[in-house]
Formats: sequence, C-alpha cells, structure tokens
Amino acid sequence: MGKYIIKRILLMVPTFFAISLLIFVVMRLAPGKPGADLAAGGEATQDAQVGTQNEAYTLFKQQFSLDKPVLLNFRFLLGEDEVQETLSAAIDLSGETEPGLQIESKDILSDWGDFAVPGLINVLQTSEDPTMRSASSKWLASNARQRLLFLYDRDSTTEDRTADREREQHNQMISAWTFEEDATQQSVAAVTDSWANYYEVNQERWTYSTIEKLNTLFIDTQFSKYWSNLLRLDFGVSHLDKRPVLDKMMEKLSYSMVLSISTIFLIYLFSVPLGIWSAVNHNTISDRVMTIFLFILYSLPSFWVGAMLLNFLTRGTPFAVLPTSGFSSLDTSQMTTLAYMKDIAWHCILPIICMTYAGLAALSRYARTGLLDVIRSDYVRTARAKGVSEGIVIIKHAARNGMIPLLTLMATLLPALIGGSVVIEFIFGIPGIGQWMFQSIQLRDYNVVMAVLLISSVLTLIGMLLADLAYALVDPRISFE
Amino acid sequence: MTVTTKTELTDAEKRIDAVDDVTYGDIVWGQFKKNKVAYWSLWGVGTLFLLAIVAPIIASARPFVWTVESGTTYPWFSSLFDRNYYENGVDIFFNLLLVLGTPMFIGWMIWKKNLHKKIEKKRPRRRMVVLVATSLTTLLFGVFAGMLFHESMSLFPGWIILAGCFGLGVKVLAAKRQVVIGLLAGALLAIIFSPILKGTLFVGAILAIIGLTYKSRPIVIPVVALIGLLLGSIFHPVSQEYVVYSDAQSALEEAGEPVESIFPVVPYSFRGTGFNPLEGPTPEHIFGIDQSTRDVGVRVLFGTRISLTIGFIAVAIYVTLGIIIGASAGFYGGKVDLAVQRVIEVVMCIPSFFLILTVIALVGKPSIFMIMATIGLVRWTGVARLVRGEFLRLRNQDFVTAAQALGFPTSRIIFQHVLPNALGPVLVAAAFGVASAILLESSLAFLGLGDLSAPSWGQTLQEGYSSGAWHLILIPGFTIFFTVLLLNLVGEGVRDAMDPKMRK
Repeated sequence: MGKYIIKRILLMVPTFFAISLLIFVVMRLAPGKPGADLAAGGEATQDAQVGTQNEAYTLFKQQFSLDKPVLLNFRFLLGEDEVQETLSAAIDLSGETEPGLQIESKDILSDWGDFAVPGLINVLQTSEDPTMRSASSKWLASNARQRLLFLYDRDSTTEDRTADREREQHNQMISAWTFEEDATQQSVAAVTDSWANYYEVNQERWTYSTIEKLNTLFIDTQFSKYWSNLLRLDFGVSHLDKRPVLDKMMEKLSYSMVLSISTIFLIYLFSVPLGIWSAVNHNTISDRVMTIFLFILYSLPSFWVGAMLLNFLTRGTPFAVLPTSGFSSLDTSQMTTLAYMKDIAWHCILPIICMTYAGLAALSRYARTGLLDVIRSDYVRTARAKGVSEGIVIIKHAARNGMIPLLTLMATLLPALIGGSVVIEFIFGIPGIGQWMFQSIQLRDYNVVMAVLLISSVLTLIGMLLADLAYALVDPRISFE
Repeated sequence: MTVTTKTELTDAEKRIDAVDDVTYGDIVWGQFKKNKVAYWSLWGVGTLFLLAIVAPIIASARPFVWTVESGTTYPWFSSLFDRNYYENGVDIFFNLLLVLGTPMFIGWMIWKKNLHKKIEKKRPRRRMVVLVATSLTTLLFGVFAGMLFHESMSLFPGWIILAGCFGLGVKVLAAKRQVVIGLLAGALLAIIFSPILKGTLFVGAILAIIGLTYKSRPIVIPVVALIGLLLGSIFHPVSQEYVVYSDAQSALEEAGEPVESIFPVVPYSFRGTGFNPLEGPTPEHIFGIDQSTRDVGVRVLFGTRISLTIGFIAVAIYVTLGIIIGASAGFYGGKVDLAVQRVIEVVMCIPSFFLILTVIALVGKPSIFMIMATIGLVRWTGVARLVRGEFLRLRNQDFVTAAQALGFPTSRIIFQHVLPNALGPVLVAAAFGVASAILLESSLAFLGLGDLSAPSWGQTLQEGYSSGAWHLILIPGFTIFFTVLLLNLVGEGVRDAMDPKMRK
C-alpha cells in the first residue's frame, strides 16, 4: 500500500507538469494580452512616425516576463534581415503597412530586446534610408538597455546597488545616441560611430556559446520562468493590485470553502437517508414519486434557481426576507462572534441551497442504486434468514457496502464544487474563488487564472488518489499490490 | 431497383437475414419504447427540433406576401438566406434544413409508402442504418462547412460543399444514378445563392428537367420543389437592405396607399427592437419584452435553434474525438494506450468548466461555433475512457480473432466489428452530454460570455437577473429546465434500455 501511494504521488509530478504546460499554452496562445490599456495609452502619446514602445508597457511586460517567448526561445538565431523587415513594418516605411501589423511589429521589436541589437546595428550602418537609420538608432537606445535587477528588491546589498547604478549610467549613456531623420551628416556619423564602437567593445554580449544557446532556448522563456517560481511556491503577483496570488487565493478560498464544505456536509446528510429510504421502499408509489422529484431537482439549472430565489426572496418582489448579496454584512466590526456567525449563515443560505440540491439529487440516486445492488446479494439474504431484524439488516449489513460508491464520490465532489461555483458566486456576489477567477479572466490577470487552474487541478489529482485509496480501505477485495 | 432484388435469395442469405431481423439495436429500442416517459420525451425533443426548424414560419418580421401598388414581392422567402436578416450561421443552417428538409421529407414519405418494398427487399434495417448515418454525416458536414464559411455563407465555396453533402444525402435516398441529379440540384443551389453566377441558373434548370424526365424517381419531388423555389427567388432576389415591414405598412396606410400583406403568426423578428422595455406579458407579446426592447417569445423560440445546435454538435464533436482516441488506445494497447491514458488524465484533472470559461473569455467575442468547438475539445475524455474500456474487453474475443484471421484490415475490424459492440455506453454518455452541453452554453451566456448575435436563452435570463423582471427569469429559465429535463429523461431511458438487469 505504502509503495503504491508513493508511486502514485511520484506519477503526479509529470502529470502536474503536463497540466501546467497545457494550461500555459492554451492561455498564452489565446488572442489578447494583459496590460493592453497600458500599450494603448502609450500609443497615443507617441510620435506616430518613428516611435519605440512606451516605457511603462515595456517595464510591465518585463516584470511579468511577457516579453519572452512562451515555450522555446530561438531569438539567438535572429537574422539581420528579419530585424530589418520588422523595423520597416514598425515605422511604416512603405506607407502601406496595416495599423495592426505596425503595432504588432513594434511589440515584437521591443520584445526582442537585446537579441535585436546586432540586426539594428547592421541597419544603422548599411541602410540607405535616413528614416530607417534614425528609427534603428532610437530602437537601439531602448533595446540595448540593461535591466535594473534590484530596483524592487528590498534586500539588495551595496554591491547590488552599485551594479545597478552602473547599469543606469550605461542606459543613460546610450539613450543619448539617437538622431532624427533630418539630422546633420555630422551628428549622424557621430552616433553611428559611437554605436559601432559600443558594439565592438561589448561584442561578447552577442556571441553565444552552445551552453548559452541551450540556456536561452529552454530557460529564457515564459514557461520556465513560471515554473522556476512555482518550485518556490511562488504563483507570482496579481497584475491588478500587485499582491501575491497565493495570499489572495487563501483569502478567497476561505469564502469558497465555507460554502463548499457546508454544501458537501448537507448533501451527505440528506442523500444517504433519502437513498436508503427509496431503496427500502423500492417500486412503491412513494419511491416513484421521490425518484421523479429528485430527477426534476437534478434537471433544474442552478443559475435559474439562483436567479429566481434572488429575485423573489431578496429583492422585495414580492419578498425581501434575505440579504441580496455578499458573504456577510458590510460592517461586521461591531458584531459579537455569535452575531457574526449568524450574519454569515443568513447570507449563505441561498447560495448553499443552490449548490446543494443538484448534488443531493444525484447522490441520493447513487445511494439508492448502490443499496439496491447489495440488497439482493446472498449475505443480506443470509442475515435475514438468521433472524436479524430488517432495520439492522439494512443499516448494518447492506448500507455499509451499498454506500461505497458515495464515499469515493466525496473525493471528487470538492474540486467539482469549486469549479461549479462560478455562476453561484456570480449571482450572489460571494467574493470567492469562482468570482475571482471569472473577473481575473476578463481582466487577463494571467497569474491568477494560472494559479486557480493549477490548484484546482492539484485538488482533483489528490481527490482521485484519495478516492482510489478509500476504495481499497473500505473494500478488502481491492488491493493495489 | 438493382439486379439483386430480382434474383432469388440463397439459403445462406436467408439465414443471415433471419439473424439480422432481431439485432441488438432492436432489443434496445424495444426496451426503450416500453419506458413511456422516455419514449415521449424523445418525441418532445423531436418536437423541439421541429419547432427550431419551422421557427421562421411561426415568427418573422418579413411578410410572406407583400402587395403594394408597385407590385407583389415575397420578402419572407428572400429573407431565409439573407445574412442581413439572419446574422447567425446557425439560423442560415436551420433555414436550409427548412428549405431542403421539407421536400426531402415529403419525398421520403412517398418513397417509404410506395417504393420501399420494391426497392428494399433485402436487409431493410441495414439500409436504414446507412440512411441515418449518412444523413447525420451530411448534417455534420453541413455544419462544418457552415463553420468554415459562416462569415460568408452567401459565398460560393460554402454552397459547393453543402451541395456536395446534399448530393451525398440524395445518393442514399435514391439510386446511385440519381447522385447526378442530386449534385445537379446542389449545384443549382450553389448557383442561385451565389450572386455572381445567378445567370447560369436557367442552364442548370433545363439540365435538371432533362435529368428528371429521363428516369422518374422519388427524388423528383424535392428537386421540383427546389426548382420552384429557385425560380421564385430569381424573380425576387435576396434583398440587402433591412426593411421593417410592419412600420412600412402603417406608414403606407397612413398615406392612404392600399397594402395587402400576409405576415407570420408572430410578426416580430428575434432582434427587432422598439417595444416597451421590460414590459410584462400582453396580448400582443404573450411572453413580454426584454431589456433591449425585443420580443422574448420570439427570442426563446429562436433560442431553441442555438441550444439544440450547441448541444448536439458539441457532443458530436467530442464523441467522435473520444471514439477515435479511445478506440485506438483500447485496440492497440501497449504504448499507445499508456500515452493516451496520460493525456486523458491530464485533461481530466483540469476542471472543465474553468477551462472552457478561460478559453471562451480569452477569445473575447466567441461565436456559437467557437463555443461548440471548445466544449467538444475539452470534454472528450469521458467518452474516450468508456470506449477504451469496451475495446480492452472486446479485442480478445473470438469474433475479433476470426476477423483478423480472415485478413480484414485493422480499420475495418475497429469500425465494423468492434465499435458497434462498444457503442452502448457511449450512447448513454452522449444523451446526458447533450443536456449538459446545453446547460453549459446557457451558463456561459448567463455570465455574459455567449455569442451576442445569437438569441441564447441564458442571455435573456441574464437580462432578467440584472433587471429583476420576473418574466425574463421565468420564461427562458423554464425553457432551459424543460429541455434539459427532456434530454435527461431520454438519457435515463437509453441507460435503462441498455441495462440487461432491467430487462424483464
């Protein structure tokens, strides 16, 4: 058994890796990108003809590694022709570039960062066109910048800060080396010379060894940056308020957990007796009525029930007996603990009803069929034959075995409830995981969405393992050896 | 109609026929029919489909006949394939079903009544299976063609593909020779609805008439009906402007001009605005008005099209995917199986609602087809697991070994020998899957992530939720509930019918 558990847990690691890879690819390949408002805001203030990306957006992208390729980084292979083409599209040299392509080209150029420097130098030295040369000088000034590594690091040492200060000086130096299209021959030559000189001196920055290439290929990507953070249990920060995702997750999870755990508790509290009752009264009128009722309950869409309850019980059309939305009242500081609990219960009654009834219907059907399966078996007949009372036969002999399917369902119920709670939390304004997830997707807060998807996947993985183990625990006929 | 029907059947063939007479499908169908609730639910679903198809006959803002001083026009007919009036590809597709389906149905009824016995002495059931399968394929292909060209349904390529599919369906309905006529009819369709080539219609029509007189077959009726329709639309070409005919009528009548018009029973379009917002049920609008001043009844009626399409197509996509992947894993076993199982595990672990929500929301403005494809691509794992399990069970049985010994190709063994025996659980999963796909689409629309050009039930419910108007909550919500209930009952019936323990 121990061996089996260890094997399963070890198998989880590659599965989790594959899950994260899949989610990552799906998310990053979807159209649209975070921080689009920043990008758009920059565009308006820029010189329309020749302009580099706006700095805030570039910084934002660097901070979240969004300037890197998703899975594999081939930028060390970047050819000079490619840079030249992209540059001419970015500055609309032909005058016929589509606006979308122009913006995209600017994006690509700024994403290339350091890797585009040799190509840009080439353009600067060889291009005949003054516009191209001027643009390449400007892009050089921004692409050759060195990143300040310790800007937001509170624990940085003096040496770190000195190094950063040197980088800052370097950036200031190169930022002066630009010229406009109509600049004099002299200044153009001066700038070109200083860039050529600069490139010569720092040649080793753009010659890559095999190890460096491999390093760039696999490590310098969004996915590996994300994973290296993940290994430290760092899910990144939310784009919105710059708070760590994990902290926020814990906060949201507490709301969702209150709902889902009480839901699971209620489901089991009612479905087991209901199932047993139905199975005992098998094929009677009351069983049929109950079955039909549960079936109807099962088919009721929860968002409809939620919207109806909300409209008819909370909004005063016709009743206003329950609070409309939220997890608790706005001001809870004056309340005693008991009053606070009551307040929460008062708010959660409707969402819990909505989440409970469908699961209740499904589970009591499972309980019914589970019990019906065993009630006809030999050992139950034996128990009856030896004179055990009917109640004891059902409760002690039959129900114990008949409820095994329910036990294993419990493990999968929790992740399912968290996943399914989006709509209910949306309706009742519960600030839980579901609503947070929904808002984050719409705002393209990648880190949050990734984290929620990953953690709910892990919960599912663990749930499946627990279900298998529970099977083996309660049913001695099943063994994994 | 071919040589075989005239010759005597050999003894061996007779024996095969006798075995064929009671198939597994017959037993299941017989069991299913015993379950009255499920049986009538199936009819209910059928009725919903019928409603979806004939929706424009019930409700449309375009009059069937429009007579003013300058002449008579038939705006309803030209609106059916007008992208300006029906914005959504799904609607165009259902209108196509209305136009093609009605004559084909009549033709089929006649064929069934008169010619069925003459043509189909041998193995009628197998023939039926082929018929149903091919019709479904035709439908699917039509939808895929619609997906490919849904932005430009009036363009030529989309119609050519649809025409091919139509020909395929016709091929099954009639003899092989008739495929020429079917394709011809399809080509005619392509010509009539492609504005550039409208001029060549007459040539096509003459060819079709020659083909028809050459050999009269049941296909005559649909083709004649089509030609009538095509001729009709040639004189009243598809209009490009959006005219509100009811307004035009009242304006003309005020000006004293005589107008004669025949409108459908409900003379509103599902996107026609201009009524009192959030007004409750009135005699003119028995289901009330929504927030954007549109008639709720018409929206719910046309929403049937959206929901049923989503439900059935999404399930068709993931059942197909699941069967292919699961069958290859189960049949080949070994490394293929291991790899497939890992992939299934990975996809299964991600909560599917979250994943679908993420994809749909990131795409931004999803179309109906996008939603169907996403559901299909995320939900195939369940079916794949079922099929894999069945294949593992079946692949070592004697009939498979026999087929292998006979030297049949693997694809034939998989699809013709093993797969039919493995389909039972898939059918049950599919029946419940349709209901859950419909629910999924409704909840996406409820969250505001649906196709905005489509009159989805969830979208109306969302308006009810945000505005608090009771009729906007009750009507679409009950429709969703009723549809889901019917489909669940059918699924339940199928499951019971498949279960040998339930047989008495």
